[in-house]
Amino acid sequence: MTSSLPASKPMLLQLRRLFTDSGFPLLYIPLLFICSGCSTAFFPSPREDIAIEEDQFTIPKEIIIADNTIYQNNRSGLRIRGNTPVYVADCSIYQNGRAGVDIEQAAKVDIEASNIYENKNSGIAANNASKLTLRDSLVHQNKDGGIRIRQDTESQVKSTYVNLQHNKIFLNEEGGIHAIADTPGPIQVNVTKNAIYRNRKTGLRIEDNVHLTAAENAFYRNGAAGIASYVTADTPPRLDIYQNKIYFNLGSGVFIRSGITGRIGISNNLIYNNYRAGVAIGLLNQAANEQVDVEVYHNTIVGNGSNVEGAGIRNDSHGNAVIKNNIIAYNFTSGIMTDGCSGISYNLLFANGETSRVQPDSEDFNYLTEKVQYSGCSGKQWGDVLAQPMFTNPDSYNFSLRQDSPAVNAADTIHSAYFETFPNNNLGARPEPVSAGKVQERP
Amino acid sequence: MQLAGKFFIFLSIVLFAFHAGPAQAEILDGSGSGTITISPLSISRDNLLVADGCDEAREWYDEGLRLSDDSDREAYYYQQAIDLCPGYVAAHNRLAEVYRKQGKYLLSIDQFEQARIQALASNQFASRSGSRALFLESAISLGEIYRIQGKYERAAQEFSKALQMDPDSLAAQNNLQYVYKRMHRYDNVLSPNNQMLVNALFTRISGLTRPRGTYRFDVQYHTWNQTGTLTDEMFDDERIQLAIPPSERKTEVKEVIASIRYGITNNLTIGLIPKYFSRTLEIKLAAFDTVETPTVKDIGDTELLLKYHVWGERNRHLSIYTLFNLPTGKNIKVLGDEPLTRPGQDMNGDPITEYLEFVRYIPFGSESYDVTPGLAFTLGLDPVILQSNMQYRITDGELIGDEFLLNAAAMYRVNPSVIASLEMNYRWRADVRRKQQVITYALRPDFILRERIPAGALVVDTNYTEFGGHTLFLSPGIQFTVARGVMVEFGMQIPLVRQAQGVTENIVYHLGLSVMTF
Repeated sequence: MTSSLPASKPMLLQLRRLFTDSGFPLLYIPLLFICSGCSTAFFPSPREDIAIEEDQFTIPKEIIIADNTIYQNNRSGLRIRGNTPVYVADCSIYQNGRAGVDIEQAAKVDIEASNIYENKNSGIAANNASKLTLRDSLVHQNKDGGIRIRQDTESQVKSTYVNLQHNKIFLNEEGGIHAIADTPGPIQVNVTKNAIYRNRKTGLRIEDNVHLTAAENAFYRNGAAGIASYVTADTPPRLDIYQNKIYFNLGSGVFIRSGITGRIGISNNLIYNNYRAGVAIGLLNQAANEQVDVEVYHNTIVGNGSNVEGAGIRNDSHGNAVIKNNIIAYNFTSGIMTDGCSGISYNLLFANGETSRVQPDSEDFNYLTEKVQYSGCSGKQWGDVLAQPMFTNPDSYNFSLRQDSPAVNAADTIHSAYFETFPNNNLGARPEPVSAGKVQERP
Repeated sequence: MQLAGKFFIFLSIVLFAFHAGPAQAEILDGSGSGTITISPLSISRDNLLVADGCDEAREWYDEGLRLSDDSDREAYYYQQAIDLCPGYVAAHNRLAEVYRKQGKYLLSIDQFEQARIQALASNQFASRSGSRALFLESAISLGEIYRIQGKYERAAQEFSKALQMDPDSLAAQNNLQYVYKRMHRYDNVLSPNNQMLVNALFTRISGLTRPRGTYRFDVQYHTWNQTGTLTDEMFDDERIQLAIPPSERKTEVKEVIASIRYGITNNLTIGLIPKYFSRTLEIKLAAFDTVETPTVKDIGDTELLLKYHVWGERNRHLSIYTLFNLPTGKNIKVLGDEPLTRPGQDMNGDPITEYLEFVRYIPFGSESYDVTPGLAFTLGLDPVILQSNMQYRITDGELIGDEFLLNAAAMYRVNPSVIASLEMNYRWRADVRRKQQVITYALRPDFILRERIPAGALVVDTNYTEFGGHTLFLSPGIQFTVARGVMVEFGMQIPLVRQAQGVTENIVYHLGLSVMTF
């Protein structure tokens, strides 16, 4: 289906002018539309503009809401319950009093090519939903975060499936995406090729029984971490985070307070210029509730940190962290900050830390360098390389490797299905560009 | 209904007035012969007339923000906003951001500069909330562009500017460090306040160890006067009836301490600290007017330092250390017949001059292999660095007694070249039993003990107790960086609490020079 976003600037201005010029009051009698292909604007309503509850209708096989403008309602723009699949496309949903789209009680919703913004609650709130798919959409400037997904003990579904693809989630006043499941059944969250940026808090935050797959996204300029993982109940999140670009976030690039990596782990990511650690695992002196078992493979982690905090990778947890085949360079405080050397091997470290003095042209590592590269670990580990990584142009964030890089062919083989599919003999991340958040151009 | 109707009429009037904006401004020219009509947009942006344009500009800006895709369309919205309201700083900033993302660096720099100019020109901007953040954003973004272009110096300038506006700006700290590293300034990548590789003047041993393969040399010069009392009561083996009891000993001490430290590994530092003394003694004798004050110069003991860094993270470091005392200094015996003049005159009216033999023992070392274990801690708390150590010297108690030192220093970096420090130095000394040879003179034979003791010199070997006690110093100091790795330091130790007996110092003056290799 080809979709187009209707909320172009001239149209919005025209509508506003219409209101003020004609002196309409700001309250309208609610209109209820369920239409396909109509281009009607849903006017401000004291309640939801569209409320779909399956007991009010003869249950159709599918409900399609397309090409609508739903705005300035006192409550949610769309509220969807029950297990009839609902398909929302080409809608503009904004400035509603609660969530833009409120999805509840086993609802199955596909949203495509829609613009959801400036709602007083989240852009999309999915509570105990069965399925949410969001593609090619914009979710932005919502007061209570972009997308909030929750599954709690009252849930009628065993698990929630969420698939977010090719969206832009930005400038939301809380986090970009927040998923939490304190139930035995997990929320499966697949986040692929999205751009998640300039949100006031964390770009993507998961808690408890959430299985996250985040691939080929760009997380940048968020007000806290790019990706954060926590546990407040019994089951820690499961994580596979790969081939993402995570940069310029005010917190750590990836912060794992608790989490267990899946079959891929934290792999092949470009993590740079985040203002705290590149990858932070655990919380110093607060290891009571943490459950950590993570694998950090083949990432390029450059220039993270500030006076507050900023190792390339730090592990303050008591859990396991395997740190292998990464390039860790130019980070503020140190390269790898751990309690001991367990699990560290085959990494390239260079120019990390505050007092490291290295001569990039001569590979002169004759003092303090090693100490600063490994804070908490005595020094160079098996297979490690302390040398200039020879990036193509790190100043402009091009961290691909030159042919003369010591990282070339220096990696140890990792035996997993993922790395057999995407083999990488070099240290650091694979050079594939991230095509995140390519939403369709609006007319 | 009538009321509602009136309300809507009223509302319509208000809306009309709002949208119509104020009337055009008319200003009489000097001759008063005519009027000059000024279109609203040509008046200062702070003028109410422009506010109308700025309101509309805000809508364009919001539209751009809603797009946030760094596209030409987004740029167009911001440009529209700027056309309507040239002083719209946020629009300039966002437009610059879009240009930056598009790789149009010159246009981007121009917009950032425009943002700055407009912000500075506006007398309202500074008072608005969020203005500082916009300024900061533009400085950081400009720095990022210069970084991308490889213009490190200019980038560093912008990031430094941002840090001046907001020292807590994580983005500025992050980028400045990166740029410094790219400029090969690895020894100055921290903001100066966080540099902890400074030592306090008297709290000399820090929690950090030397980097592997690096040296630190320093030379310290101390001078002070000290006073000690020597009374009959101090002799505890054989009570000496001193014919000419020395009641007070004054010593002017000049001490030169050289030290060399080397990082064997990043966690282990070794150091050698030899000392050299010059002591000028004055022993006041109650019976005489004058006394000669000999000056003796010799090397003192040498200390061997071993320090191990046991724990540390970014701004907290803890080391343990041991100072081994190598007894290179001796307890020097100074003999000499010295003319002393008594008060009064002899029978001929001449001054009374006698020659007496004095024996002085001047301790330049402990003459024993002592051990001093200690603990040192350094904590960096922007903008202050705290340094502390404590140590206990275990001796044989012969020439020099046990000694406990507890030092704490707070250092504040006033500017990149100057560090001011304030220290508290506490010292406890144990009593010392010292061997002493006393030569006294019997002026006439003594029959009191029924043994005739002839007149003349009487040599007695005895022991006396040099009392210890508590001393507390307050020690201000200042250090100047005069060249890369070279520091000159001045300071003094002012005794606030002195031990009641034994040897007590007056103010200790400190002059130091340290050189670090990188």
